[in-house]
Amino acid sequence: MEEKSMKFDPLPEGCIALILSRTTPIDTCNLSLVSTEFYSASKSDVSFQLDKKSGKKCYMLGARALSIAWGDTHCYWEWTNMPDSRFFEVAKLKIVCWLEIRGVLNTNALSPNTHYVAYFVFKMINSYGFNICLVELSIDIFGDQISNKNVCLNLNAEEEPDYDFEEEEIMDLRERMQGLQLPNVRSDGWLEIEIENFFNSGLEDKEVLMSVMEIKIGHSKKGLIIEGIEVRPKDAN
Amino acid sequence: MAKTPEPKRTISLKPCDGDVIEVSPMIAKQMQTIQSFIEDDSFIATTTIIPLPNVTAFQLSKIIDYLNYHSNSKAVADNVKESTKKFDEEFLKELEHDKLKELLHAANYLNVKEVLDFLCQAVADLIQDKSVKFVRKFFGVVNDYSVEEEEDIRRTHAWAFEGVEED
Repeated sequence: MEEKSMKFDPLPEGCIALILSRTTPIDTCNLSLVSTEFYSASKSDVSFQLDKKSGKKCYMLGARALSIAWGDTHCYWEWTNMPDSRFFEVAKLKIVCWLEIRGVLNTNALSPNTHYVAYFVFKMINSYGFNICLVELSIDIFGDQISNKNVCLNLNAEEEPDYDFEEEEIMDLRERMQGLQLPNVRSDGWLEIEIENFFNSGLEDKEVLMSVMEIKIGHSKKGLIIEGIEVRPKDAN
Repeated sequence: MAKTPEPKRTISLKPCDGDVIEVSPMIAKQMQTIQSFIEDDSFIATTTIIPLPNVTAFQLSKIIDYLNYHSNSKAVADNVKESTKKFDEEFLKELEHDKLKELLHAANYLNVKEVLDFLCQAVADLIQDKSVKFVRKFFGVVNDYSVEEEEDIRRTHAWAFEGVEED
């Protein structure tokens, strides 16, 4: 059958990936059935949206776009798909002691003259080790702003069992966990915690390095599921 | 004191059809593909004409229109937002689906991020909630899956296909 539109060269896969990253997760998945090229384009690991209110750019680096220490070692991390994820795959923590997750974004991908906030987006399922875990979040905007802080990633810290520690250590860690920043529940069901906010003047290209780490206590940790790192305008919904 | 002649301030672009189009360096700078020409040692702004065998005069002038409008409206107060929105809507209204796809090709070839972002969003809005069949026709692609492969994808991502119209 002759289709009128057949006379055009097909769009390059990079273009299709850009288009799909601007549709909903359901659309992206449904449209992976179009052809094998669409399938591979649908596995894009970065999602882009315009904030409905301000028209400014929002970016989400999916788990695959992050560098996760031991991420490709099957006994530590598992890559799986989840219905409520906007990405093809999410990273599920089986067990690690060394938790190190890093993401990089160039400011030229963002809107100029805009205050942005970076969030770590994740879930906890049958987690362990995060109730006594000072997770360090940090941001480094090349040459400009460097900051880090400790947070607690588990909203329901008291539900986790403690195995790894002596009574005294637990008491000490519990004390240090007091008053730490906790994650919020998003409208899409995932949790998010603010890494840091920054102002993007847009005058020059800079790399924004963001990280989520726990390597100081170094105990076993399980059950963290990573959706990604989102950077969106400060007053976005 | 000897007066140096005013240097030529525009960049000459030659589309595959039609005449040379002159653009300001600020506009040319946003086209990454052109930028690599300009940075080449053999480039002389006064005489060099950059050939664009993959871009038509229509596509080039549409892209320049978009960049011109948006660079002029940048850094201006909120009341410009409405007119920018109107400009964008009008810009798309004049493009049939085929023209839109051609323009996307040209923007991709010239690697002009602002236009590429805008057109990708426009296409994304067009294919939102559409059937696989519609999207195949829109992009002019054929189903190259084997029956087994297609079944496999449907099984793995069954959640996404609930309620989607069968083609």
